[in-house]
Parts: sequence; C-alpha cells; structure tokens
Amino acid sequence: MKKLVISSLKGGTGKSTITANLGRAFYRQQYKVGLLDCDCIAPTLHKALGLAQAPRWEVDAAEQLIVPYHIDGLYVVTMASHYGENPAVLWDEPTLIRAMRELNTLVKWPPLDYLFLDSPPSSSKFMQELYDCLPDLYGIVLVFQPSDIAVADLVRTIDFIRIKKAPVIGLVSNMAICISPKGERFWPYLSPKVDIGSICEEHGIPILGEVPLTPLQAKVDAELDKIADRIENTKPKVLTDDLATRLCKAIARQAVEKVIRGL
Amino acid sequence: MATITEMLFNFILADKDMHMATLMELSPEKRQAVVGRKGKIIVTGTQGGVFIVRLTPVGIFREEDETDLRNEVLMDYDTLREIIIWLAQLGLPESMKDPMFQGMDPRSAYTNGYIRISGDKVLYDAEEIIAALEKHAFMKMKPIARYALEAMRKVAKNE
Repeated sequence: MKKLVISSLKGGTGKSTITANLGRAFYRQQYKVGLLDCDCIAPTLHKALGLAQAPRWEVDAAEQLIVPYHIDGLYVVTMASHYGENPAVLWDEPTLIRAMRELNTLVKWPPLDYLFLDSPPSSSKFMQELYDCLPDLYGIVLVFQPSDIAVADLVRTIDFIRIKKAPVIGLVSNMAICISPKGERFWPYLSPKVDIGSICEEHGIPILGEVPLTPLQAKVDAELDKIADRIENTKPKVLTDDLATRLCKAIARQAVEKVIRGL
Repeated sequence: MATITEMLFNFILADKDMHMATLMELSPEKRQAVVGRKGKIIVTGTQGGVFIVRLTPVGIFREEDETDLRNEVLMDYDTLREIIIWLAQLGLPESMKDPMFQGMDPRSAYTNGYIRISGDKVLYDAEEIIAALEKHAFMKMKPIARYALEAMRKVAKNE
C-alpha cells in the first residue's frame, strides 16, 4: 500500500477536495483506495465526498480497531465521525498528538493499493506527528492555489517538508482558473495570479497539473486522471538544500569545530 | 451525605436488568470484548465523586482496587450537569426547550475538551464509551434528568 500525504500549510487551498478527487481518479483506474482525514481540528473530507454528515465510526470489537466506511468505492476514515455535529475541537496538544498517532495505527483497512492522507493546514506538533508516524510514507502531493497571497505559505510548506526530509511527488495547482458552465475562463480572486512554476522550478518540484474551479465535474475528472497518471510515473524525491547552502553549512561547521578545538 | 453524582451513578449501577438488557443487545464478539473491562470515572467538584467500575457478565459493579484500569474518564460536575440538562430536553421540540438551560450532549462535551478519556487506545475506547453513554447510561437517567431540570428552574426563579 502506497501512502500519500496531501499537504499544504495554508488553509482553504482545497486539500480535501483534491484528496477526494484523487481518490476517485485512482479508483477509476481500478485501484483499491483508502482516504484518511488527518485533520483533527476541522475535518472536511466527508463534505468533499458529498456527505452532509460523516457516519459514526463502526468498530471491530474483536480486534479493537476502527472500521472505515465505504462510499463510491472508497474506504474512508475521518475524525468528523468521532466528533459531534461541527463542535469546536478544544483538545490539548498531547491529546491531538495521540489522536494523530492512533489514526495511523488503529484503523482496519482492507487490502489497499493507495492510501491518501488529507493533512491539516498547520505546522504544529500534532501535524509533525503525522510525518513522524509515517516511516513508510511514499510521497507528498502539495496543493496550492496560484495566487499571490498563497506564495509565502507555499515556500513555508516546502521548507517544512525539507526539514522533515519527507519525499515529494509534486504540486497540484488547484483552483488555477475558474471555468463557468458556459466554458468562459476567468480569474475571480482579489489576489493576483502568480507563476507557481518558477517557485517549483527553483525548488525542484514537478507540477503535476492544474485543476480548474468549475461546476463542470467532467473537466475536473479529466485533469485529475492526468494527475493520477503523473503521480504513478513520478519518482518521489527528498528535497535537499542547494549547493550554495550546503557549502555555507559545511564552512560554518568547520569554523565552529576549529574554534571549539582551539579552546 | 451522598453527592448528586454519587446518587446518579448509584441509580444507574443498581439497575442490573438494564445492564443485562444492554449486554444482550451487543453482538457475541463485542460482548466478549467488553466484559471484564474496568474503568475509573472521576467527576470533580463538591457534588462529584470517584467510581471504579467493572463490566461483568451479570452487570456493572463497583470496585475499590485501582489495578488493571483500562480507561479513566474525567469531567467536572458542571459538565455532568450540562449533560443532564441536555438529556432532560432531549426529544422535545425546539419551542418547548428552555432557552435558559441549553445543556450539552456528551459527544460535544468530549470534543470541546470537557470530558477527558485516557487509556492505551484512546480513540477506539472513547468512541465506545461515548456511544455507550449516549445510547444507554444517560438514557437511563432521562426521567431523573427531567426532575433535576425542574429543580434547577425553581432555584433560578428564586434567585
């Protein structure tokens, strides 16, 4: 089973929608797919799957595991099933960390080809726990909207992933353009559109595709099918510092060692 | 003198027929998995109490010994009171609910952090415990919850 995290430190970029649509795209390609909503604060994956309310968790009493619910061919687990109807989650950090750990160990998944993990938009400790409890992570799919206001968060996300030494597959540019039911294309946001390509190129991250914001689901599905193909054919890689940064770090290390030895 | 919490829990613990009926509703696998479990419930506050209980094949019994505890459930008396208020008005049409007393359902109380559950498998156990509270234990308290709400209303009026 390949585990892929759908990630962005910025909220509202459409991680849950991309997770749901990617799951459907891989399912269309005859794969067995699971979706895990790891957002312990504001889980929304069930909404992206078209459910007004997440079904309550079923449990396997003999094995003491949580059983995923089955919808549109996908196996899904979300914390929304565990919470009530949209209450504020006021758990302390240790509880959230434990919840994240248990979400990754206490689920009775059927045999799957792919498990997509919808990550929360945060770099807090419980979010870091997600990466720490995934030693078998296959890769990360970044989701970003190409607007000027999102750029700083994209750079932060890339930095976060570099520090965590997690493998990256590529970036999905979501809500990259708006397409009306009549097929007109326009940019409806206040923040100007930016060229995310140059940022990705600078950091060596491939762009997997551009998903439009549109009620025309067939257009979205067609793009997601292409993205699914690219994910299958892209080898994840761990981001490393560029040559200049590595050289600077090496020089600094040597200088510090020299000073300490001279004490 | 017994506290309000002790009176409520003693009332629930005394009804072995209800315990047995609840156990019989469970699938054999589930029954086998839960019988023998032991937990501690702590309700803090002057009207609170501490209960160590074990589920046996013939109902729930109180114990004193703290070994082999699977879970600890912690809440304050204010939270328990809010749950009782919710319970007293459960099923009533909105127009008949007392706007002064909103109450809180157990799952929201847990999500909001007012009920804390500890153990080795917190998510799994919490789901079972909250579901059991929602479906069984608190339902049993419903008639007395209505009396309790009436008493609260009287106190509120006098104040």
